[in-house]
Amino acid sequence: MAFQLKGASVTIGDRQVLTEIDCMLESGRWISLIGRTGAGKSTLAKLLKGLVPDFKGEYWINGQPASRNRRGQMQVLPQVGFVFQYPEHQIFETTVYRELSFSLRMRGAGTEEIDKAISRVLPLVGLAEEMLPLSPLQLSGGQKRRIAIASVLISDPQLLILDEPTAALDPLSRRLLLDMLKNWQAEGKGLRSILSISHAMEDIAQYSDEVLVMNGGRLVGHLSANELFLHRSDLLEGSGLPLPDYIELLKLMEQLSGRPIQIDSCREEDVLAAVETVWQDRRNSYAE
Amino acid sequence: MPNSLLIGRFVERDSVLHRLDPRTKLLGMLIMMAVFLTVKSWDGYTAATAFVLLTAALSRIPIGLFLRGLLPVLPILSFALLYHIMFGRGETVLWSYSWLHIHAEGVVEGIRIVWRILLLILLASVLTGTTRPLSLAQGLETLLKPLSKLGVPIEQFSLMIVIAIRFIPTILDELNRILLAQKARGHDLSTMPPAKRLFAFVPILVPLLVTTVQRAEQLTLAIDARGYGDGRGRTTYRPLAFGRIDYLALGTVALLAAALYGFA
Repeated sequence: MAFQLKGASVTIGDRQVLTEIDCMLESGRWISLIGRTGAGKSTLAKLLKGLVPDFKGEYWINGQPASRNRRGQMQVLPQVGFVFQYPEHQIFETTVYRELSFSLRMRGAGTEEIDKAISRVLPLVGLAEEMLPLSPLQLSGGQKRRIAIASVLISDPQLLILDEPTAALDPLSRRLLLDMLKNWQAEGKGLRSILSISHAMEDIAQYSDEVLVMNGGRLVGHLSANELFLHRSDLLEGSGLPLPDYIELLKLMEQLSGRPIQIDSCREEDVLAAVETVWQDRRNSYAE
Repeated sequence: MPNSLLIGRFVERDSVLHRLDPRTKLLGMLIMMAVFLTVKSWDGYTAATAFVLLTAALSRIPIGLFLRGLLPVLPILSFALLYHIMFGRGETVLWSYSWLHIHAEGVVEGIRIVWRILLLILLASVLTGTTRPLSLAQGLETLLKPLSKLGVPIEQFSLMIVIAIRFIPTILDELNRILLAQKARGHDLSTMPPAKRLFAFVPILVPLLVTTVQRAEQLTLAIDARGYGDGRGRTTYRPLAFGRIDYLALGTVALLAAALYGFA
């Protein structure tokens, strides 16, 4: 599914939060949404889920205008999943099973459908079936977060929006969570998209296909992660965002060697391999 | 929506009432409220209304804000009025149909009760509208101070009130966040039939309660970690001081109260 905004503006009170946003989210992509605090990232994400009832502009899904109610207000879109910041704070049910099945029950799904969906989603988030009868409030922070994310994945969204999904997680849990999301996306055979709000530049460079850069309520860039990190770091500087450390290292190597390093991927292993090659060349030339 | 829950919020204005010491306003309001409860005659009601309208005007708070503050209590007021009209008994029957007899005395009593509640609410709104919550708590603490000699933990009580007031906006923010998150999961209160809506608060109240308790635990630890103790013997950055204007205001209120009491 493709999600497209045309000239979308949002005003809250007398403050213009989003100005003339034009963007197209194609299916099967991992898109990161970056910008400083107050740049309008969360509002844009809420807009895409249909949580901003009144906005100027158009919202198209698969070439069709998104449905609105009789008063012309946007409605919550079931095909979009939304994982809020600290999603474990929204857990309220008595058992993990009930928590996971909440959104399906809200839609009126039967027991059989719910059981099938749960057995599909549990291995994805690395949780055991023995956990189903437990109270979610007894589990660890990381497990709670995975349950909260699973409770969104269970309704099989075509676009999954995550607001800082790895906030306050240790490095290992962070990696596990992001890999888990990557697997979920891969299972969708190019139909599932992810839009992730994040401040962790390393993760963004590692996982995203595209990046949306926001500044002062405007979308100032929509480009591939490779393009952004390797050639358009000015966009990051303009928004007050840092480069990943290993890209800084790459830039430093370019300065030291006095020539640009040819590379077309911003993934950590590719960049480090390129740096290593240049380093070896230099050592070899010194040796000669 | 949640903002309308707050009856009488502080409104920044430059008025005589804003400048008064919180203790003056608290005492003045309590005296006046006590007198209002004894008022019986219509003249007394008119005089009390004049007093309330005068203080409201002195506060320089737009009248619209007062009226909006009354909206949430409208159901209670209507219920009180209806109750007295339907079940108030007296000698003059105005209208009757089968078991329902409406007596003139009931109608009059209903109007009186509603009038009195309105006056009390308006007066309380003037107090909260002209006094910052924290200075209100500080005023309350100093007024109750004599009780600490009897072993009542006034400082802790006051700290509790200050914290409760401070966290109202935070908890409202949290409530909004949870409402939105559950809406995203398909739990939309606005599209539910009213009967279902009654029980639909579980997905909202449970997370709210859990996060609030967690926050309270963290706050306790933070307070302890900063060596706050129980607040005993603490001084304040802005000590309250009675000025000439306060004595004048209290004197006026006392005179008016006495007059109203005799009048009623």
